[in-house]
Amino acid sequence: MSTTVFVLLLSLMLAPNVLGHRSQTKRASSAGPYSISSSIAFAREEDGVLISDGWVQESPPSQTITAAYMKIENQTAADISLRSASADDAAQTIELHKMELVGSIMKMRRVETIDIPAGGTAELKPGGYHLMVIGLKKELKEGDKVTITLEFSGGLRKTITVPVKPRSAMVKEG
Amino acid sequence: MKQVWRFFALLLVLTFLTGFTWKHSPAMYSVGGVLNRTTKEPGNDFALTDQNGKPFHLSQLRGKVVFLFFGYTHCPDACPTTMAKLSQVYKLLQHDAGRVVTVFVSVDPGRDTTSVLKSYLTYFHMNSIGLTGTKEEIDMVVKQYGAKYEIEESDSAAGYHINHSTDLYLLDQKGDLARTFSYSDSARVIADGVEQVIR
Repeated sequence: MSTTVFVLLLSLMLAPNVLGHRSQTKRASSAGPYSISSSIAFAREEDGVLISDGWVQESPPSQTITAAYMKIENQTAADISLRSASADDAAQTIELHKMELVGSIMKMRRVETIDIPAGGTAELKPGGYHLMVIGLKKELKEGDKVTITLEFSGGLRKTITVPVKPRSAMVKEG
Repeated sequence: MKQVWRFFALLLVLTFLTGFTWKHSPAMYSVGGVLNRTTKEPGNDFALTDQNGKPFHLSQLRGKVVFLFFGYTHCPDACPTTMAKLSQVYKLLQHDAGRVVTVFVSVDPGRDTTSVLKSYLTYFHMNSIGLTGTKEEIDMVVKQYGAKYEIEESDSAAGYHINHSTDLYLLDQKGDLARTFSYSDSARVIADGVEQVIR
């Protein structure tokens, strides 16, 4: 009989461990889409929208797609959203995409807008939002520049010229 | 009578545990299901086709430490990040870099032809092999390592995309799984892991 009790006790002890382990897996972290931080304005744009740290990922020779990243700071008192983008000299079309790490799975989906709250910053960066640059008209190599036009809510349109950089330039050792 | 009680108690425990496992089996991405790496090692060989169109067996790489990674060349984010990170790992490994081979298994046989793979890997300048095969052949290797992927149709002009696991498998000189690195592990952590296997 004591063995029976032991086995039953063991099962009760094991159960929470199994439960705990599983729920931890299910709860696996998902990185935020982009960070919103309070704006410290180093430069004032007339329209109140400052774009910085832009770059386009160098494309391996066989590829016709790549991604573009940047920070968009909304210095205005109103929420805005990025609605579309284009780089007619470099690519057929640009879409707004979002990456999300769910557990160990990297998921991607197309989004309609990227919202930037009043006084906030949207950071387009690896593992979060990016501009999906599709149908490259030529190979993009380090040192090239790409001109991108961004269309925001409220009819605001901004044109930026950003450098092409290899992905390796963005990977840190530590 | 005592033995009967013991039998029922054991049955109860087994029912509980197995029932729980079934209930929590991953359904969404279950190409391979979950592999319990601590108690069940994947086999140490598989066969696919390399970037030169030649048959490849993992056993060809005995004596080398292998980075095994599942991805696709149209991947805009996780794959180039991982490849760039591995490129950094090779630099950190210095004279030991020659003992490590990166094996990139494409989960996109529809677009990743051998020539596309070849050109993609050449770009990253490291000792690497690109593998493809039929969907069935690829799925078998995916399952072997407990990796996961799903092809998602999309209205994107880029066509379908693939959600895939980002784990990096480190195989030792015998082809056995030595360690699994997660996407957030740095080049330094990975390089240290390789050194532990080599030493």
